[in-house]
Amino acid sequence: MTFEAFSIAEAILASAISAGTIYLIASVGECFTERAGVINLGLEGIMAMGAITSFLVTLAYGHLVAILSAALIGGLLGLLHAFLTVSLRLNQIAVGLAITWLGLGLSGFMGAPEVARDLLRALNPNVPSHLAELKQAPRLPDLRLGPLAETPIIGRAFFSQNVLVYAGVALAILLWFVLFKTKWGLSLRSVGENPALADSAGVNIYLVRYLAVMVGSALAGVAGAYLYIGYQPFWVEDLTRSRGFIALSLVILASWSPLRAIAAAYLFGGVEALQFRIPLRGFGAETPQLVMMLPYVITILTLIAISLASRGRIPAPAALGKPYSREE
Amino acid sequence: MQRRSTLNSLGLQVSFERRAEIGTRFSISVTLGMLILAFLVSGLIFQLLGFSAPQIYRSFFTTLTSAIMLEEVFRRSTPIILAAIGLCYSYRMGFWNIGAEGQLYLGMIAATGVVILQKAGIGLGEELLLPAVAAASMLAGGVWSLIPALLRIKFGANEIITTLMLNYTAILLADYLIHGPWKDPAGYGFAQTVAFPASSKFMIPGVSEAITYLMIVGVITALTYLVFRFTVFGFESRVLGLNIFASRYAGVPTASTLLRGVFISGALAGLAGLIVVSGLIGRMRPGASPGYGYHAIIASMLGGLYPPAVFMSSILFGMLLTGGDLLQAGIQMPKSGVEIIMALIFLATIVAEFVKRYRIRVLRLGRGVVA
Repeated sequence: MTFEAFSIAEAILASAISAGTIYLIASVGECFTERAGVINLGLEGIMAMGAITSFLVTLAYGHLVAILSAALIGGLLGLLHAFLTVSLRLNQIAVGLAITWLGLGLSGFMGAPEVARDLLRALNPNVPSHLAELKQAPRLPDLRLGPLAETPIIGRAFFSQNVLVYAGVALAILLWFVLFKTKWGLSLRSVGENPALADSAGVNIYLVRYLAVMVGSALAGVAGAYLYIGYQPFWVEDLTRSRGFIALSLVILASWSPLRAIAAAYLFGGVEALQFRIPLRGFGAETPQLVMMLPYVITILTLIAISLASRGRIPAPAALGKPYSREE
Repeated sequence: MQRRSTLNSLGLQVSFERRAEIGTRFSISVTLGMLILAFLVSGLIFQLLGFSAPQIYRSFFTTLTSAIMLEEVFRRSTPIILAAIGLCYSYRMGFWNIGAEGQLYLGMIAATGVVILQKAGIGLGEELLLPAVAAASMLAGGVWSLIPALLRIKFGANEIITTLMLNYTAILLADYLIHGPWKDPAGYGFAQTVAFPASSKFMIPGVSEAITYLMIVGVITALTYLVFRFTVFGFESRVLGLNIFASRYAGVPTASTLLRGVFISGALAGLAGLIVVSGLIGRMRPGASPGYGYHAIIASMLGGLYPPAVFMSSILFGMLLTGGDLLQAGIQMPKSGVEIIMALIFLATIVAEFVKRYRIRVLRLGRGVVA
């Protein structure tokens, strides 16, 4: 291999991991939610809210507070979702879409220059409010993990990224451990598989589902924060571009396992990385729209491939999407 | 049937009892009540974000006060009505078609293609241009909508995800054509296609543009009402799911019923696309639809999939869009403000379903409960 090929491979791998982290954080959280039997189609809107929150709060108080606030906003939207779907037992698809549209509308509104300026002034009067109009916030710094960062090809991708990239992998492992190696995780999965049985065994279905939805939504908020401060720190309308819905389909690809979600997410990170690389090599340099279709077309192809590979027996949690009540 | 959620620690028990019968008048008042609530909550949000709620309400009201404004309201409502009536066919079968936006773009693309061919001298002739663009846009929208239906039938692929992905794909395809091969060479470098000739527009002599559209969509609404009410197809789709909020697990439509219904959805969205490019803006441009296909989803559900009510809800949405334009020009309110209102209307529609179905009782457990 020539030096140029090396450096291209290195760059593509690094941006695949970087883009994949958006999907990773969101789909790991959604794995957790869906294992308890609730599907959260609000992911897209919650990510958008996480992104706008991180944009404004980073300017006002820095990265750490921004990430925490994005998680908080996500958790609150999750609370709304859980109240409507778990307590009122409303249709999970409809509620999720409503939250998505609310999040997209609100984040678009809050990101408009005149509104963003006022919000920033309200958050922290000491920060010059015109900063909000620039639509930019400082990016999360890269953490180079010592000499490992110098490893050829994989060094940049795996050992020289910002803290949320590492946190994404840690989260996947942690949630996998909780789900499959702890008593609590067993209860949560039983709620998603057979809530009536879990109920009779003394598991508090409502509490478990509320927590599962809120944790998943908080992570979607963090995924949105990462999308902005960790990946593309420039605010544009429709920043999320359906990534929340792609994350939802990655949960199926990962067959509801946070560990497999790592592979699925990085694979899609690779698709996104290619999408920006191909026009650089000539094709679609003038009109990149055809190349930009890649993630959407590949998502559809992935759903077909999953169906073919599993012969129509997709191992979804048995009670996914169904509200629970004791009497019916 | 009864169900309880426990607030026992507070000494209260909330119980939900399913209503045996839901009266029409009761149903309408609940929906209207929730609609008002949605407007109040939107006002509160705007007030918190630094905009005057009374001024916003007044702007929406203004759209009804002059003939010129009303014409604009009807024009903006037209694509929403068409797409929303179309979506009723999908939703009555429990098929969550979120793809009207993409189907609408396919309609625009096909119609523009026909016009470009016509201008190049390859066409059926001037007098057949209108039927040609209408057929092309409906066929394109319909075929595009068959993709998610077939994916659902053959591979069990979730139609919400596939229709959304196809929306992005269609919008990108339109953008590609507008910036690339279909860019108007005489357009001073602007990203737009050639203008639609007058012979490609719907026109009834002696009647204004808005009234022409209202008559067309009125006929389609009435036909749909009759189809749902009196045909075997309407009966089949009704059996499959009268109410999309409840029908997801109620039954699976047969493949042919599903395909027919979804094709009609797509065809009407495609026709909506034609009206946008031939009438509302006159040519294809990036972002030609501000999301009519998404507004239609909410309008069809707010109208309870009942065609006359869907027609009325769509006009409300046309009013919101027109009022939103006034607000954007007048007090620089970002255009996504209208999206917030629409999302809250959708949320209100869903909660209204709950209020209609259940009677809420709060019981006190035992005595001596301190409030």
